[in-house]
Amino acid sequence: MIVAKPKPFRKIKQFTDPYENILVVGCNTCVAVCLTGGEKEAEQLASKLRLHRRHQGLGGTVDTITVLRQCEHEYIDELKEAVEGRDLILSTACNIGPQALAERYEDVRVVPAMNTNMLGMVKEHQTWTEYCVACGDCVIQYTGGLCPIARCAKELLNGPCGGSQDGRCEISPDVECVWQSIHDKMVRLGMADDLKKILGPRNWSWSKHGGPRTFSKEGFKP
Amino acid sequence: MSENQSITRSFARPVSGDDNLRPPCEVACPIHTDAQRYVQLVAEGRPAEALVVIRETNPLPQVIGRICAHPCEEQCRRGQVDEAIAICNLKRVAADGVKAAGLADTPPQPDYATGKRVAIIGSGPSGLAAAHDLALLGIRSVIFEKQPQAGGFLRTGILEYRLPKAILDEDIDYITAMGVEFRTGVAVGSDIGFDELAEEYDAVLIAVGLSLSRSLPIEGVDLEGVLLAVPFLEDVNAGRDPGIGREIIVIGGGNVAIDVARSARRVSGGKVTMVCLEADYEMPAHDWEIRDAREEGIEIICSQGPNRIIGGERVEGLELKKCESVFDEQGRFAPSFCETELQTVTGDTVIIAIGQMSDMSFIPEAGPRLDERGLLVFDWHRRATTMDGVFASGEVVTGPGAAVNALAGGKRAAISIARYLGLDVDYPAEPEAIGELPQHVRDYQVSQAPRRRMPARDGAERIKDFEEVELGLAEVDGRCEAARCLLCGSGARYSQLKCVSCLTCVRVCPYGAPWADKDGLGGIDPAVCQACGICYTQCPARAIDLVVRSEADITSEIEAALADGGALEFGCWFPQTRVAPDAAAVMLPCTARLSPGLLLKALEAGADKVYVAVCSEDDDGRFITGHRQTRAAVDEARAVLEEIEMDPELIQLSVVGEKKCAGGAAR
Amino acid sequence: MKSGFTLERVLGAGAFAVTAELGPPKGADPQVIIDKAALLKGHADAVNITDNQTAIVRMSSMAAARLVIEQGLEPIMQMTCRDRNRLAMQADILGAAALGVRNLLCLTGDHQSFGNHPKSKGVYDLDSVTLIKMVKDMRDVPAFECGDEVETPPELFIGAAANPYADPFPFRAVRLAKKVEAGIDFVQTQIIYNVEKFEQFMEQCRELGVTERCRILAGVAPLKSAGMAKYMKNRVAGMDVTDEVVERMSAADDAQDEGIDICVEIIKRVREVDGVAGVHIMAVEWEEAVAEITSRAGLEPGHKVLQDG
Repeated sequence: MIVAKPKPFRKIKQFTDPYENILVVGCNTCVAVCLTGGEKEAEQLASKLRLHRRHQGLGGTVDTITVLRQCEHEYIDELKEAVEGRDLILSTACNIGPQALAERYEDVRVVPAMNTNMLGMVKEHQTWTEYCVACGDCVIQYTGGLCPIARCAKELLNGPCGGSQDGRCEISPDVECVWQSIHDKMVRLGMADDLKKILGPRNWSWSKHGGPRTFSKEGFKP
Repeated sequence: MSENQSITRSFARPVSGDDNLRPPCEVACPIHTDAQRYVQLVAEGRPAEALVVIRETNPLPQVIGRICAHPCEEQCRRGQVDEAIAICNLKRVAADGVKAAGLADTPPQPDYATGKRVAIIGSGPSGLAAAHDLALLGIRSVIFEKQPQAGGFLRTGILEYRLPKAILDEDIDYITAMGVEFRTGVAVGSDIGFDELAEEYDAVLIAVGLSLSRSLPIEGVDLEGVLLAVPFLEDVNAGRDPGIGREIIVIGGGNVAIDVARSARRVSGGKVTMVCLEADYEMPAHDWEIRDAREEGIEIICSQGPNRIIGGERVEGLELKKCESVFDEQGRFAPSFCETELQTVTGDTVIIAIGQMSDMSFIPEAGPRLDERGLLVFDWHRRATTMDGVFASGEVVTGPGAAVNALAGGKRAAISIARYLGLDVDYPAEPEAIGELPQHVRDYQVSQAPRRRMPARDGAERIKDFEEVELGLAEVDGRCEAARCLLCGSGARYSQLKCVSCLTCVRVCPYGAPWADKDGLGGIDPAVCQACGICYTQCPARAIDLVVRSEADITSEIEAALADGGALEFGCWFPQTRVAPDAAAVMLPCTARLSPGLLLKALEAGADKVYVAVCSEDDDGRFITGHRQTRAAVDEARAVLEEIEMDPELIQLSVVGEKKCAGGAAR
Repeated sequence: MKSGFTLERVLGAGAFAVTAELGPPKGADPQVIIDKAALLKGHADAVNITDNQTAIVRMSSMAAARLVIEQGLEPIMQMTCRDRNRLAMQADILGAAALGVRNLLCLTGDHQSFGNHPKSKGVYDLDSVTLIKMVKDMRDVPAFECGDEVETPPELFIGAAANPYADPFPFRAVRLAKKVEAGIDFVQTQIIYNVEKFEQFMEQCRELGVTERCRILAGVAPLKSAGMAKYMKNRVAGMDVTDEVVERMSAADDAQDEGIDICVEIIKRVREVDGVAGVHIMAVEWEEAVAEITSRAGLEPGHKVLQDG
């Protein structure tokens, strides 16, 4: 799931303060699930902005509306009326959302309230960990089902590096050494010998390194 | 990978997650009064609004608030935890509160535009209820009552110490003020013919109740000093001398027998003994009636049947035979006796209180058909007799029962009559109750809180007169009692449409009420939900709201409370927990249902300070983890204020002192 | 004087500068560099040493630049953002300065997908503008990108590229101004065939004050064939080869000769454009053409003019 986290308010106010008629647009998909940008958070941000603006004597209007997904044309088309007359849209979606809105509503400035953080797995309630970087060429069939690209700080294909200690990464004791876990899993599967093979170098052209990607599903097109 | 394992909990999908399920108290109530709602309003110290809720279904709130058999309390789920909510007593608290505060309780002025008129025979609870509800439908009723005053058995059968006449008068006055006409002292059959009524009126309702006492076919019933229950009670109620001695034997084990015994105790000042066929646990009288009787020194002899009344001219005693069983294998009344095991109770008076029957002598030959037992042939669904336009309700058709059942019959008859008269009204749908409190919740997750006892005059003291025995709960006790309500079925409701299947509710609910399956389908089991509101505050997609004190409710209350600005307290339902007594208040079952958004909303609405009441950290308070949620919401809202350079102290968390009536933490 | 060497001196003195291009070999033989340097020496004030040009692996521009220095020719070392992060770049900048490199041309770089390692990961830790700023700060503050002090700052004359023909056209001069703001001393433009458009670009540069703050060298290149002309016109993003040029190349009996003539004509025309401080002749893998072009154009490298003057 896409995980996004809010930008610091000091930044948000910088780019919202000069505007008069603001629409905060929430997104009820990934960012709702990661508890940062769904309807509730969008409403709370709108409330916060209104209080801030009143406190600073800025006036103006801040309203909020939430769509199921900002990354779908049909859903954001529904915002037409709500966007009418606005001079700024503040999106609490992942950073796909504000782009979609910026393209759809050509004459309105759209700014993000969030930073897309990662593709993550919930580890415990309210805590997510990066599991995928959308590299475009998954290798976990060789690595015990665990991703060394997303979860190893150095993206090693032949780890662990010399910094692995007690299952932790050299960059921080808070970070798991995924190569330790890969090793353990492969041993458990009786596949430890596979780790003797040299993996890579890999083809990064299927990742963002090959340029912005598109994907078209084959088959029936309406 | 092991880090992954801690968060998932498995939940069985509940059998029923129907959002229309109602609290069991309301379902158990024959007139389906929204008890939960008025109890809440009492908890919040809003008696006038509570009375409005009561009046939505109940035309005799003061009467029923005193004498109701309260089947609601039998079903109250709080009873599964400790003791049922004193729902009946709280009805009285609401009405008493309105009177004490001099608040308005103005009868509606129906528009009798239909021009239809209905004759109602009998002014007991059933007839009164029918007249009341017909009035609201624009149909005028004329009630014929053979007694000099209206009220039926409420007036003639129930004594002052249980139901003061002044209280009954107030409830009847309310109905009179709605334009219902009473013709008292008019006996249908002798003073006016049934045919005339059927001719003159658009419809007739027979609601004559059970005005005749049954007697016993035993030796000695003709002796001087043998009385029947109904005439005895009528005499006592009318202030006439019933002609009893000082040693009274009451035959019967029902509620009327108890009333007879307690009245006799007061009138005679002497010894009163009750004799009944049933064993102690089988007695048809309510437990609390039996308790009250015993408190007043009345002896009850169980499992004994009257064999003969002993005496010369006047009663000298009652010979009893052992009753071995009251009911046969099919549960029918078929007492069997041991004819040899006899004993005698001495006494100068015997009052037979073994049951009543209707006086149907006013029904003419061409009137509604009676069966071979002399009972009306009757269509239960429509409350209709065999004669066109003639309906019946109350004990005349149901047999003996509680007053509230008579109300229910009268109300249904009113709808039948209105439909008969061409009005487009429907019978209300029968509500369905939510399930039982699950064991894990019942046994471990609900804070204990003892029921407030109804203060009553001492037994020895109260038998000296006919003054009311029950004194009514003090306002604060009433509010404490009401605050014990578990809000069954009125907690979280979720919208599948808005749900994003994030599992947050599943993870945060302390009771395990929300569930989700692999397809992302989910729900919140109303039988488990305790209405703490934590899931609502956490739901990122706004898919959850609460039935009682919804977001919209709270929002409008915030706005109303802050109409003139000033400080606002988000308070706890339990009385004596106010943390900012001078501030306007929005009272909640628990402040756990405050989201940061609501706190900000209060500031947006113009609060210059927001106080939030919370339990101390070592007390889970009303809901498990509830106080942690309150604290988290306040912390988050204060962090928001800091970020926008407002004073975080604008939101103040205040720990309530000792909750004087909240009881302990969950077991 | 920032670097104290030829290009800066020439441009500083207002002489018309001539730069050329020297592509390092796809091998480890230094002789290739030595030979190319011999072809260019005396015809240019400095030569660009490309950095894995078009994302094709070649000898490193730093090593080749040192070899060029040893041949008595001044290198303009190119550095792209594609292959190194800011650590490697700063290390190479220090190393290059230590080896005597005094001109650094800061580029974002062609995308790796164009070259012979399309599977490689592109770095792009910085872009050309932030690279320029980093180099300037290393030289002038002197501080590394992280803020730490540079003990002995590199003395560098900082250059960049500009393309008047890419879109959106109104923004091209603005973007160059950003590079000026970031700290460049000179700029070399994309190859010019459409002189009118270049003139418009220069007018915008003048309006923005770019010409006052940095020296602009107009990029030119001799065409070798009509096919090359068509290819560049149709296939290379950001190139503007006019129809007239294509027609002339197609009509010519001796295409190489015609290509050089066209190049010379363009040099003559751009020399007249206000704000043009020199030309950058890109005769890729045709280094010997540089001498011919300068000769036919009557161009002497600026440093020679200064010496003679």
